[in-house]
Amino acid sequence: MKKTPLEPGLLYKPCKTESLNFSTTEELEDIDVIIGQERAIQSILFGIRIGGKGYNIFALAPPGTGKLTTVRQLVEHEAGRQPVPSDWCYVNNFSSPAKPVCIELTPGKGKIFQQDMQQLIEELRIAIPSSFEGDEYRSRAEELEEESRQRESQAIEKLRDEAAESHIMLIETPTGYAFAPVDKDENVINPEQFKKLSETEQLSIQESIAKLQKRLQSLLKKFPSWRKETKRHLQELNRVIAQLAVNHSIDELKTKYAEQENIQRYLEQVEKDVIDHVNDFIPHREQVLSFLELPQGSDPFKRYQVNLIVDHGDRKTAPVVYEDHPNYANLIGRVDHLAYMGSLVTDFTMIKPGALHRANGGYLLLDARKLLMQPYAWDGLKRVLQSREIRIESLEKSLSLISAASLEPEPIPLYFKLILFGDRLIYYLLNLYDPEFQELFKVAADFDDSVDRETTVREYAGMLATIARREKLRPLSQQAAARVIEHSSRLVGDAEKLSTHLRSIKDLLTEADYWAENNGHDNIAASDVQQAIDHKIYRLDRIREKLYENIHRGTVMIDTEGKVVGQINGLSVLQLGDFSFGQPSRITATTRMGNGKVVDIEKETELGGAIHSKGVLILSSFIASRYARKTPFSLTASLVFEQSYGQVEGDSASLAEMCVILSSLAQIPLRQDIAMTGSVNQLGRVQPIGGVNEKIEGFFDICKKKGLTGTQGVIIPASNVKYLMLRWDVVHSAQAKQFQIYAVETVDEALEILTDMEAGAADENGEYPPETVNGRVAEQLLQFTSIKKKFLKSGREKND
Amino acid sequence: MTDTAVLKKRILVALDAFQDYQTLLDIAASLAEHQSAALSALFVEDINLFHLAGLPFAMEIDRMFSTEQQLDEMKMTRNMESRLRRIRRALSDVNKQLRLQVSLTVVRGNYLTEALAAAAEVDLLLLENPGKRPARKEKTAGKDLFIRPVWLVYDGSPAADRSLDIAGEILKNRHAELNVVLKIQKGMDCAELKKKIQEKAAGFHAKAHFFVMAEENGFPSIMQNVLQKGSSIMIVNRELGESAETRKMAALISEAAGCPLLLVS
Repeated sequence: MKKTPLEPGLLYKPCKTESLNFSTTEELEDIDVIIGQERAIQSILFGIRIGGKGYNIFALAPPGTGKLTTVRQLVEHEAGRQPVPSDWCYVNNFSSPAKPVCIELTPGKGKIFQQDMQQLIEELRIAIPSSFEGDEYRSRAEELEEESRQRESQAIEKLRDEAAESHIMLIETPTGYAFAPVDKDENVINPEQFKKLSETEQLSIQESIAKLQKRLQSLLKKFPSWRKETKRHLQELNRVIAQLAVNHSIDELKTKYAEQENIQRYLEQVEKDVIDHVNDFIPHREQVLSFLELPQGSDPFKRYQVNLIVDHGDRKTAPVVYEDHPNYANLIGRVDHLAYMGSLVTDFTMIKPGALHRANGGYLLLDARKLLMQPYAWDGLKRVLQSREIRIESLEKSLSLISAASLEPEPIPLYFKLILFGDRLIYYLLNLYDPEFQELFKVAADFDDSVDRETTVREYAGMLATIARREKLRPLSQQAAARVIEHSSRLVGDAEKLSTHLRSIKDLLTEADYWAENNGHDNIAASDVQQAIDHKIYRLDRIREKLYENIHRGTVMIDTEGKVVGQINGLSVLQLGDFSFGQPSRITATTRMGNGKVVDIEKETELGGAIHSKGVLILSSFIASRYARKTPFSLTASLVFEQSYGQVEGDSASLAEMCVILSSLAQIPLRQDIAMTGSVNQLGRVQPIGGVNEKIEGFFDICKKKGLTGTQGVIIPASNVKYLMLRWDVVHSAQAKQFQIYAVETVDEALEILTDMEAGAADENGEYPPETVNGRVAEQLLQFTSIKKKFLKSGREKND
Repeated sequence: MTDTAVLKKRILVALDAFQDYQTLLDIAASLAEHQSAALSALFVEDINLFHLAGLPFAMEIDRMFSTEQQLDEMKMTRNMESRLRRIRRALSDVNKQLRLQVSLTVVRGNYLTEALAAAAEVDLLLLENPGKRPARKEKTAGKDLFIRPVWLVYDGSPAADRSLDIAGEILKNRHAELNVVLKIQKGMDCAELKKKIQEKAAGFHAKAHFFVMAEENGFPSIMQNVLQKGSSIMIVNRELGESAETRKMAALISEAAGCPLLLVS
C-alpha cells in the first residue's frame, strides 16, 4: 500500500509554552549553566578526589560546550575543601652556585623569610662596617700594618746604616734600590770625583757595594713572604671581627626558624659566606676603573636574596590555575639570562616559576590543543607527571641552541591534579598514538553534546535566564525562550534533544538582544530570536544562494517535475563553517547485461569515499540476493552523481541509488518532483541518515523557487522522523499540502512513491507479479540471463 | 703675591720620581679651583740619581723581582721622561676638566732645596717626602673608612688664619677630623684661640682637636702625635720657619709624617 505523506505535526516539535510558566526569564533563578552533564561531572569529581598516580583528567567535548566553566566550577569548589599548599623559594647554593637550593615553607612564611633575609643583610651592612670602624679593630689593623712596615724598613735601615759606615748610601731609584758612594755632605759622588779616587779606593768601594747589593737582594726576597704573613694576620683579624658582628644577627634568625632544618643549614652557609666576603659589606669610595679592570658585575648582596617563586600568603584555598599559553617555559618555569659584557649570565634570582609551581598542591587546567601546539610542552609535562617533581631545565640548552651558562635548580616535589580539556578527536588520537597517555590520564570526563529535551526544558529555560543575566542581556519572554529551545533542538538536529553547545546559545541570545534593542523591545521577543537566526543565515548563505541560483538557471540540472527512467534527485549536506544546507544532486544509472557488477563511477574516478563505495556494494548484493537467487546475476550497472566534481562520501544516497538502478533495469520512469535520502541495508530496509532537516529544506527551497506544484516532496527514512525540526515555511507548505514528506521503512515503499506502481511481493516460489516494479526488474534480469546463456552456448558450439 | 685682586694666586706642587703624583695633583687642583689660582708643577730630577747612574759600576736591585740590573744615565733619563709624560697628561686632564691654568717646570737638583726655592714665589706649596716611594699599605677591611685627619699648625697669625681657611676647603670634601697644633706665643689666650678655631671648624662640619706645641722641642715634639693619629695632610704657614729652619721643618714633617706638606704663604 502506497505510503501517505507525514502529518505536518511530525515535521516540527514546538516547545509547549505551558511548560514554561513564566512571563520573562527575569522571574527565574540562576542555575549552574551546565545541565545534563551528569556523567562528565561525576567523572571530574571522581578524578579530582581519587588519589594515586596517573589519575589526571581529560575532559572531552567540542569547543564551546562550556567544559572549562564546568571544570573550573567543580575544581574551585573542591579546592575550597583542600588545605593551602606550601610556599616555595630558591636560595643560593654557596658551595655550588649553579645548583640553587629550594626551600619549602608553610603558606605565608615564604614572604616573611624573604623579608627576614633582606633585613638581615641590611643589618649586617650596618653592623659589619661599624665593627670595622671601631677603635679596637682600627688600632689592631694599624698595629699589624705598622709591624709589617717596620719590619721591612728596619731591615732596610739596618743595611743603610751599615752602608753608611763605609760612606755608601742606599738610595731608591724609580724601579728599585741602589748603593752609591757619598761625600762628607752625603751627596752622591759624581763620576769625575770617582775617577779622581785611587784605584784601591775605587776597588774597595766597588767590593763593598757588591757585598751590600747581595745582602739587599736576599733581604728583598724575604719581603713577599713577610707581606703574605701580615696579610694572613689581617684576614684573621677581619674574620674574627666579622664573626662578632654576624653571629648576633644570624642567631636571631636561627632561633626563629629553629624547626626548619633546611633553613638552619642555609643560615649556617650564609654566615660562613658573609664572613668570607666581609669586604663586600664595607662601603668603598668610588674608584676610577683602571685599564682592563671589569666593573662589578652585580650586587654582591644578591646572593643572600630569597627568590620566592610560590607565595600562598593571601590564599584561603588550594590553587586552581588555568594557563592560557601553555608553552614549555610557562609550564615548567624558566631561568632568565642577563646580557653582561657581551655574554649571558644568570643566577638563582632569575629563576621564574611556571604554572606547575603555582598549581602545586592544587589543580592545573590546560587546553589540550594549545598544549600540543607548543613545542616540547607535552613531553615536558609528561616528564613532570611521571617524575612527580618540577625540574627546571633550559630548553635552549638541552636543544644546544645556546651555550650560555645555565642553572640546575633543585627539583621541587609536585603533587597536583591536572585537568586537560579538548576535542574528542584529540583524546582518541592521544589514546591511540601516545603509549604514556593512558597511564597519565586515567579519568575521561566525556561531555554530552545534547540533553534530553522532554525532561530538561524547564532547567534549560533557567539556563537561558542565567546566561542573559550574566551577559547583561535583556530577559527573554516566554515565547522567546520557547523559540530558543526549539532552535536548540534544531542545532543538534533532533526534535527530542537540546544542544549543550553553550557558545551557540550564548551567541544567539547576544544577537537576539541586539535585535531587541534595534526593535525597541524591553525583553527579547520570539521575533527577535527569529531575526537573529535569520540574519545569521543571511550573513552566511552566499554560497547556498549561488548554488540554488545555478539550479534555477538550469546550469546545474535538477528536475522538479515529470518522470524519467534511470534518474533521481538525491540529497546531500554541505557544511561551510558554522552553516550547513542541503543540496539536491542528480543521480543517474545505466544498466546492461553483464557479470553482476555495479560500477560506481565516483569510485572509479577516485571521487568516491570508502563509505560511499560500501553503500554501492550493498546495492549489488541486495539486487542479486532478491532477484537472482536461482539464476546467474547477469547485470552490469553504472552509477554517477551528475555534475559532481568533488568528493562524494557517505551512504545516505544508497536508497536513491538503489531506486535509480532498478528504474533503469525495469525501464520504469521515476518521479522527478520527489527527492530522496536514506541508506539501505542488504535486506532492503531503509536506515537513518544525518542532516535530514537541511536536506528536506534544500529540496524545498529549489522547488519553491521553481514553483511549488503540490506534488513535490522528499522521501526520508522513517527512523529520521524524530529528528525533524523543519523550518516554518516548510511546515506551512506541508500543512497546505504543497509539499510532502514521506517516511519509508523499505525500498519497496520508496519505489511505490517514486513510480506510482505497486512494488510487488514475491510469492512462495519467489516469483513477483508481472506488472509490478519488482516483477519488471526480475523479468529483465531473466532476459539478460537468457541472452547470456545463448551467447555462451553459441560460443561453445563455435569452439567445438 | 698677597694682592689677590691684582695678581692671580699660584699653587705649586713639587714632584719627584717617587710620589703618588696623582694624589698630590688632585689636592693641588682642588685647592687651585677653590681659590681660582693657577696650578704650577715643579718636577725635580734628583741629582743624586744621575750621579749614581753615571758611575761605571752602578747597579740597582729591582724592587719587584729582587734582581740585579745595570743602571746608566740613559735608563735614568728614560725613567724620568716616562714619569714626566704621565705628569703632563695628568696636568692636561686637570686643565681640561677644571679649566685651570697649569704649567710645568723641570729642574735637576735636590727636591727640598728646589721646592723651597720656588716657594718664595707662590702662595701655596705642596710637597711630599722626597726620594721615597709612598709607604706600602696593607688591605684592611675598613681602609676606606679611615680617613686620616688633617693637621694644622696654628699660631694666630694672618697666615695661620689663611691656613685654617685652606684646611676648611680640604675638609669640605672629606669627613675627616681637624687636628690643630697650637703654637702658643707669649700673651696669647689659648682658650680664645680654641674657641675661634672650633667655630670655624663647625662651619665646615669638622671636629677640631688641639695639641699644644712645646716651644723648646718645636716640631719634633708633635711628630709623636702625628704618627699615632695618622695624617692625610699637614698645613703649615711658611712664616713659621724661614730659610734653613723651614727646610729642616719641611724635611722633618714630610719624612716623618709620611704625608703631603702644604706650606701656606
